Amino acid sequence: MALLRYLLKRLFGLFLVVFGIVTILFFILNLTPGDPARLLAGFEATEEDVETIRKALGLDRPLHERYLRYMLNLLRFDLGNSLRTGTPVIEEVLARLPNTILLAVSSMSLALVIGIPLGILAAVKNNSIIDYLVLIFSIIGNSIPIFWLGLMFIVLFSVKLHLLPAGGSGTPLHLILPSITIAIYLSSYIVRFTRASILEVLNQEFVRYAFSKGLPRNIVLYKHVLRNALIPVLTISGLQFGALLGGAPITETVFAWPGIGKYIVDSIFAKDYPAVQGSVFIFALAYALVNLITDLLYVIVDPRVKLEGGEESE
Amino acid sequence: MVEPLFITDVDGKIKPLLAESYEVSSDGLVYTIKIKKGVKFHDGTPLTAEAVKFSLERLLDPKVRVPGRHNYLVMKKIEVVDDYTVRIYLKYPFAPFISLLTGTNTGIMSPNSAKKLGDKITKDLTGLGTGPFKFVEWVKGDRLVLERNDNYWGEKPKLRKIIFKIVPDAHTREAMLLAGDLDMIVLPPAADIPQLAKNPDVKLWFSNASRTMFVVINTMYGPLRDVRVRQALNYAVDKEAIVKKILFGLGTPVDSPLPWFFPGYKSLTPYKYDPEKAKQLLAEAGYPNGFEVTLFSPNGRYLFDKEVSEAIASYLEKVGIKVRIQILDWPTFVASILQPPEKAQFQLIFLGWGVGTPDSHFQFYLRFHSKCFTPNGFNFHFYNNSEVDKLLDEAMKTLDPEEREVMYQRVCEILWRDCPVIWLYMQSYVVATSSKVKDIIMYPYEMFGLQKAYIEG
Amino acid sequence: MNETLRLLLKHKGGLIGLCIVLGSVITALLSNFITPYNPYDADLNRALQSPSIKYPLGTDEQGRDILSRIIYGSRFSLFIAFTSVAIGALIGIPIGLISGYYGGWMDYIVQRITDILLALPGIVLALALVAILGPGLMNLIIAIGIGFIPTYIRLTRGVTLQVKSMEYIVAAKMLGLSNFRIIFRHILPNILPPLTVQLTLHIGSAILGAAGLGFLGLGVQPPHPEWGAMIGTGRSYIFRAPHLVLFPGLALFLVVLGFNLLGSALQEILDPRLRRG
Repeated sequence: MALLRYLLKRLFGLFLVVFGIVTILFFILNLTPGDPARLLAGFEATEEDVETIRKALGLDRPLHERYLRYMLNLLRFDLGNSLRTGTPVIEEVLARLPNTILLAVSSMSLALVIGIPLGILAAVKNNSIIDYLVLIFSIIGNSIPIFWLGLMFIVLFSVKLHLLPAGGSGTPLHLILPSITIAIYLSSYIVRFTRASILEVLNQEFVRYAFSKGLPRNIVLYKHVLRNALIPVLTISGLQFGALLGGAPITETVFAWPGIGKYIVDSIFAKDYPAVQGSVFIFALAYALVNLITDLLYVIVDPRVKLEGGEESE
Repeated sequence: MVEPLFITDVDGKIKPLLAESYEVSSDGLVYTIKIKKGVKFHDGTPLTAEAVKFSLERLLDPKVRVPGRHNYLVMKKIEVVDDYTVRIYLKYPFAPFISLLTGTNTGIMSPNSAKKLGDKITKDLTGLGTGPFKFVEWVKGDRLVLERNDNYWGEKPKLRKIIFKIVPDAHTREAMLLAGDLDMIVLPPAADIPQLAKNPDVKLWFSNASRTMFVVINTMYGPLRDVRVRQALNYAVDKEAIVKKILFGLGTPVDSPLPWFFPGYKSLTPYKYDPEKAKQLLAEAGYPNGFEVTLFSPNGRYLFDKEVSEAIASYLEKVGIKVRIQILDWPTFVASILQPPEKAQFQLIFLGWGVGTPDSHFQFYLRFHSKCFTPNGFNFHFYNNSEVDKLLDEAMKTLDPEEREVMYQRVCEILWRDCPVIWLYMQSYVVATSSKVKDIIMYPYEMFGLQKAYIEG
Repeated sequence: MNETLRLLLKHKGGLIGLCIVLGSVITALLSNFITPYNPYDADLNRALQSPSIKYPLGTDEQGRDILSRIIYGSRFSLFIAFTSVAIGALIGIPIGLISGYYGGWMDYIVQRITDILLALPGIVLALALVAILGPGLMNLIIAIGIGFIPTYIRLTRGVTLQVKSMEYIVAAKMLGLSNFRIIFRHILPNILPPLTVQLTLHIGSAILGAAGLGFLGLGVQPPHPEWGAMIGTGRSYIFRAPHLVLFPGLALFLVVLGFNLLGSALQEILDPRLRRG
């Protein structure tokens, strides 16, 4: 029951937050200079043409009316039509969402596969050369500009070696470079987090107790340490996955990967307001949901955590 | 797919396409056009005067979205004389009228199919045209598919099917061409053109005119009011170097305000790169220490626009003019430049002008007539010259092509001397294909024709 | 503080990081004097030249010396990073302090607003802000700075809450000490260690964030040599002249590495659990 109450409370908070974002975005976008009707009409159009289009898009109505109408439509998931293509934004976003999810899943998996074992290794072999090297790898991975790394990969693997495609999507080969690029950055965090988390657990009373009782080392490691240590890693991975759903906009742009992130960037540049609002809305929703699920998993998996006061941890 | 009554050929001349011939009344208000016989639409119905009337009237229908509609509003009434003759009445004499009918907007479509499609016409174009290729499907954002029209009235095309794939990124397009995923791409990345030229599997096709590029000068702003200053700006910029180094040769410096195939074109003395002369002129005009200006430039709209703007700024700096560059995305750019004189915040704008309709009226009127100060037109320069105004008005009404030629030549001379812009270059339009593709027609207005093309082997 | 410094100097990674950071700051401050050429001097005739003795890192598409532009570019990256993190901290910390200390409905509202700001990952938020505010140095700083505010609010609030319930604070209040004094003398010092680490690490990510936006064309306008913008422009020439992209990227990497090494060392020193022997 407490769980259900918590869930409801969080969902309500989620609703408020997403509502807040969309509202702020709506007002900011609509109060900035730049006339979408003029853009659609084209550079060489007359004032009449622009007016016709403005009326057709409903842009001549007062701001609060447009806002109300937009929010009501939002509840039905009607995000309006893209100013650039005329097609419904929801269609454009949903067409790209799978691509972003694909990239997110593959990058995340790669990052976990690289990061967790390295983190464990570093923690277990604390203070050794291996620990040192792993830390170096992590710091380096954290310091490289992702877009630059992506470009360098393109130069090396695509131009010089002709091994992999330079951009776009379509085949599994296209997925390799963007995933690796993102995974390197992500795993740097995962490694550190895993290492820190395991070290923390290793030092705790109950583990030392288990060791002192003479339990085989491996079993202790696996049963107690790992399971407990991986919980915070889970949290951070959840957060990162959620963020990845934002499409890692810059990486997507570098590799011309047709995902939501690139769509948001392109829409912002084209001042396609409905597209920006709609895609950010979907993204915020997805991100909040992933966070919620992660938090729930956290609560379920770790019995020590209380349902309230979850925000204090940082 | 859909053909207009007339077409501008590769030599820049207007030729009849679906039309057979035409006559103009002496007062210039009535055009009688005879249509080719025996032409069928893709849906099987015959091309008749009825269809022409339908198509042209559609342009005037306020419910239909037509870019540049205001040009067509010159038509007052369209009348069917007989099955193959159409008569168009104009509200006022408009010499460039026939050139308007070369526009793809004015393509003649089957009333039968149009009515059947109704609102779906924005996505589905089945049966509408008379052209060498007919519509199969259009998946927005992904591809457009056409196939050969076996009943085409003219020379039957060799290609059986054309698929247009939408690939927004130039490098991706290039990669796909090199991998063999595509037979043809438009606008490959300019920096790679020299390499592509050396590739035996690739053939490059150039259009020898497409878009004129220039820098608009706000002639109402302080120092820029003096013609000597504006001429100085022209001497200060090395157009040849820009074309060679930044555009990698994909352009031609201009020697006239008009492209070569327009009535009134006349080769004039170019402003050769001469920074000393520029400084001299500036000093004469009273600005030996230069002054400050803001240059607006779009980003990615034209070939290397950002880079060219930067280069221009550094050339101007070398003669003492301080330039603040503002690179803007296209929507903001457009909004910023369409301001009336008192609100204009720019002194220089890097801009291009298309070459679509082959009549000098469309090159000049909206840009240089004093009635057309933005936002009522595109006279961003706020240029006001009564002789030019008079010539432009006259040329619009005069029907005699030779007289018009003389008038536009005079306008060219005046504009060239007055420098309301920094004259730059014509941008090339490039298409790259696999070397097996032959016989593509490159029109001098950023379009290509595939009606004679074929793939070897 | 001195203890920290001593330990830092002994820490290998931290020492390297410190050197890099000091090195880049000095480069930035002296850049007017140490560039071999004027970073803005363009000449199309020497455009896109490969690295040579004359131009060790080659020239860019306008013919400018890349080495000079990279040296001069450090000013932009560091200035943007320091200022935006400062904005984030100077706004976020007081809010977090007050919110955590006084609690109540004000705290609730602050929490919700923070949630909203955090509901978008930094990059999307910064993108939207810059796209709305327009390109330019100050707008870039504001956009990135705003992105940091929630983190500092959370951080400060968290520590405040922890410390608030400690016995000696309760005692102090009972003794009648003013709230203000409590905040300043007792809570604030507890924040400093984690704060220092965060600040240092954030500078690294601010540099990368600004570069990312510069890469996309938002942010510092040409002809200024901001490293991200240089990579963005250089991208068009990547097949022909990869050095336009290579060197600014290396510069970014090196400087961020410095800050991260420093921050990581500080983290280890200040948090004993992570210490390595």
